[in-house]
Amino acid sequence: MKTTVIILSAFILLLVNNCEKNIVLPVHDYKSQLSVECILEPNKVPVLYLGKTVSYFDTLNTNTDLFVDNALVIISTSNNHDTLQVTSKYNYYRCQQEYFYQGTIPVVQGRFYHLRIEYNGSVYEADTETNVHPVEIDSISFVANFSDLYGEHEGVVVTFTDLLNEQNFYRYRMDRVLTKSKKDIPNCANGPFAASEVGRSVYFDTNVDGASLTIVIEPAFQHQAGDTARIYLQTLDTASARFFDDLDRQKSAKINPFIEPVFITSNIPGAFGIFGACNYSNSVKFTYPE
Amino acid sequence: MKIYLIIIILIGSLIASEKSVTISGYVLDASSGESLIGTNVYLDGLKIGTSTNSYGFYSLSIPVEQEVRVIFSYMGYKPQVKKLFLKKNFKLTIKLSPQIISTEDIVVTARKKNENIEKKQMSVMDVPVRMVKQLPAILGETDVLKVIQLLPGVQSGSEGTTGFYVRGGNADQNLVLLDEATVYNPNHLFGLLSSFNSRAINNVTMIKGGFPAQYGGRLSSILNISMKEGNSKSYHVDGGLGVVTSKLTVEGPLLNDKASFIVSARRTYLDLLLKAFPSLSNTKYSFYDLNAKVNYKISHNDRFFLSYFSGRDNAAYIAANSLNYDFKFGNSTSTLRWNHLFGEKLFSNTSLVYNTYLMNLKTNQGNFYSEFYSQIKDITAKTDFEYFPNPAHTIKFGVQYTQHSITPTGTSGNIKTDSLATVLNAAHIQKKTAAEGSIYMNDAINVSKSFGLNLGVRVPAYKIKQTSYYGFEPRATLKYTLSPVASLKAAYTVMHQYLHLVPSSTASFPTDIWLPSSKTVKPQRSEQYALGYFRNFEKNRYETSIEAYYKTMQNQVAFKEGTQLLEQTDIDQQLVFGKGWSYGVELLAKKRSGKYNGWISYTLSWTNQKFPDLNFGKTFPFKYDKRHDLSAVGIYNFNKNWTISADFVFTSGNVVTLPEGRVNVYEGGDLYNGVFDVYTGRNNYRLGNYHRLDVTATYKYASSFFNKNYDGEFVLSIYNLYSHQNPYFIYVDVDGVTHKPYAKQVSLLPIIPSLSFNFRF
Repeated sequence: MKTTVIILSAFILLLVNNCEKNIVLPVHDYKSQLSVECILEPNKVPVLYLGKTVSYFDTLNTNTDLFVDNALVIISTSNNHDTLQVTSKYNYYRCQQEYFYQGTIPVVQGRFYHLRIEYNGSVYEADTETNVHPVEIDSISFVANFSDLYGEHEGVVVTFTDLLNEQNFYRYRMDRVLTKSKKDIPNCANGPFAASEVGRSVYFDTNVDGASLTIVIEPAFQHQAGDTARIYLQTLDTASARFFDDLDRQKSAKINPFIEPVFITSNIPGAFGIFGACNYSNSVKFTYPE
Repeated sequence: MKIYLIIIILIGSLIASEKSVTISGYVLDASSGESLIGTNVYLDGLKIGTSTNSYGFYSLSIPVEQEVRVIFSYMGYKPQVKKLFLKKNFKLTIKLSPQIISTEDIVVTARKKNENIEKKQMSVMDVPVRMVKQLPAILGETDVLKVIQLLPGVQSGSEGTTGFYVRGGNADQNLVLLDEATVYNPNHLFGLLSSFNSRAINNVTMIKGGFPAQYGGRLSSILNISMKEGNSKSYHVDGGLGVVTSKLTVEGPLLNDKASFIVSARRTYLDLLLKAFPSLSNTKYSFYDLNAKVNYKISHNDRFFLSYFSGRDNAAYIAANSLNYDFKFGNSTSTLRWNHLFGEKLFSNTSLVYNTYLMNLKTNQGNFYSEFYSQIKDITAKTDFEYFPNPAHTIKFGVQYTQHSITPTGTSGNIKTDSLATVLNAAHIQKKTAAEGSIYMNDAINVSKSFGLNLGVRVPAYKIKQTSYYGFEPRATLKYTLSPVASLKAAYTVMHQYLHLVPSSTASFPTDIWLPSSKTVKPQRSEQYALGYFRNFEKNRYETSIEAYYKTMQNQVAFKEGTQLLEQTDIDQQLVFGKGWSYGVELLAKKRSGKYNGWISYTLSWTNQKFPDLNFGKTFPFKYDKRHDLSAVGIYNFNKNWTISADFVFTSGNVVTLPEGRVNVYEGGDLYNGVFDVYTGRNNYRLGNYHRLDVTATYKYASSFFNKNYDGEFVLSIYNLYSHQNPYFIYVDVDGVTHKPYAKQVSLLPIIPSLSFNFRF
């Protein structure tokens, strides 16, 4: 009888437990790639993040670790060549200095741009066109309870009219001033600092061309009644939309065990990343009601 | 196409014109009255013959007014010889008695000794049900699908499950038929056990290539399972008590030898056991299956069969901070069949089949909720004819029509509750109705004593809404006998498939959803070439074979990367389509008789897929691509009381998709910037090799209970004897505190001993 009980117990434990152990994966030969991110915005000088991808089990992972500071980066049109220079800024949200390349010639709407990066004897090139049009925000409101793919949450409601007769892709952006008193804000910021909150989701206008659209976005940072922010809608070109949509879906896939892994598509041959264009709507002031 | 049909008809009609008389009838087991499927019927000296069909019927043309000796033989039974001198057609039903055999004479297959050499089919395997009962069991349950996995060309899926993958095909490409009804998910306990109770099974045949034309609708295999008909001579009770289940089978005669019945039921008592452990009160599991069959002989020419099967699983686990699930699935089938003889040469079987399948899985992990719902209801009407014009031909033709009603959907998202209350609203789920039909004709031709052909053609048709598809499926198998113990065979087949099971590469539950072909989802199509050499040794005691195959599969279906199903999602729009191809070599060496018997099978294969919208459009290995697959099975009969059996399995590990690199992203906004994964290839990692050894010791005895004689047996089984931690899946993540990446392997089944007791009155 005792034996039977032991056997039964072992089996039942088997049903609810499994055996999990740390293993050392045989690491494949991984060839590090250049990582490039540059989204041109009219009337702003080009900003380009240049780094390297690393093997998954590499412990290097910060901007400082991976920034490539000895590349020649040129963004050109038929009229001019802008050689980008290394600069940096402090990211209070991440509590780290972040390095990037920055140009001097503001981007012009409606132009073809060519990117050329020379690094370690190799040349990486890509093209984009700054023909993305801004959209106008019609109204902003707030909803205390809203349910969507990401669950039930409060939301900032943005209503706008889709640009007619063109394929459009939108992202939401909220600029705020934060202090470390807010929940989830790191304490490396001694005083108030500017934070730019871009929504993960990319909204496609498939089958709703020219229609009035409403999107509801969950605010990322803690807020209280009277807090103010400025809200924008970012319009993206096709390549950028795909890149950020891939990122969004990969993030969902990583944290949701029921989704297939997502590969991220690059539009820069030989490198990982994106060279694209965007534009911004008018900004609308928003005050949190609660 | 026309030429193909004309050739078949011409050959048939030319040879059918010879003058002869016909003997026909059934071959039955004298002790139980059950039909003996595949009994060899041949004319001594003339070397012509036939074998009984799936209902035990045979028809053989013999020379008119000439004395012939007709031999009826079935392994394990005493052969019968009939001297006949006939002027006209003659009906002859034969009852063969089981042979009392010593352990030295034990045979593991009931078929003709060199049937593997002579039959005009290849890539066909009969699974001896008697042997299934002797092989190692998991949780004390012998399982026909576990034995299928030990055959060459058949690979298992995840650890411990009964899923099988044939020659590079996905699980949905196997047509599992139980008394002609489709069983869509033949599993219990998440696949640890199949839903087929071996006590209720009469015959199992697996076809993985060279498909006869009567079979269609799937690309990779046909698993044809016949239920027992029930003993028409006497009543018997057959039962078993296992670690997690009990089963009981009752069979006996009805209406004075005109009819018989069998009822077999199996139920787990896991749910009762779990209640005894308060710490496991969050876990609930129960399953059952029920087989029932009645057959009624109205006359020599007419016989009816009514069979029913139902299997159902209910599982739930609800606890805080864990993966919660509520899982229900099950199949049921009902089959009404009518066998009718039109004279001595034409046999018909008409079937009306109704089968259903339902799967509803709700899972909740952290804040993420997922629900999958898949229901299928089929109504099928079919008629098959077998025409025996002369010993040189067996012509089969028929027509089939199936009405599918399919309800596929799923949803996945974030909820801030642990509740598993229903999210999907069944009223909102769009039901899809499709019609599938086919006609076919097949002729098994003995061209000469050495050369045989199996030629056939099947024409399937399919319609859903305004979309229709038609197919043309030529089938051909050639056999050339080199000697009585050696033959060469080759086969070519084309198959179409109109129902698709869309696999998910991440979930470890059977969340796959069945979808019908549509305007967007084109029918799958395969083309397969196979070549084989078959050689027996030592008076057919040893069988060996080597088969090579090459198979292409078009219109394969997968979800887009990152697909997150919502109730409103049009699943067709979330799919991507590609192609697959598989090739390999399969070796089999089998010892058929003696105190020690068993087999060794080895498969060396490659299976790849290519989808324009997956893996950057590059070729990648199929999820169940396994380079090496070795199985060794042995049974040793010490004496009439003791039998020991063992199986050893070694396979290459499954493939899995893992990121190879990481990258910082900056333009995603402050909150979402950070480190993302870089994938370089789908299914780019291979898990460690899989291997395990299972053993079983069986003690049989005869005794009496209340003056009633019975046969009893104790079965001690040990699964995974040396408790090898086989990889079930691996995952990588980054530690939230140290930010160091790590990899973890999850193993599922360690050593599992079990004891069961079986009896038969």
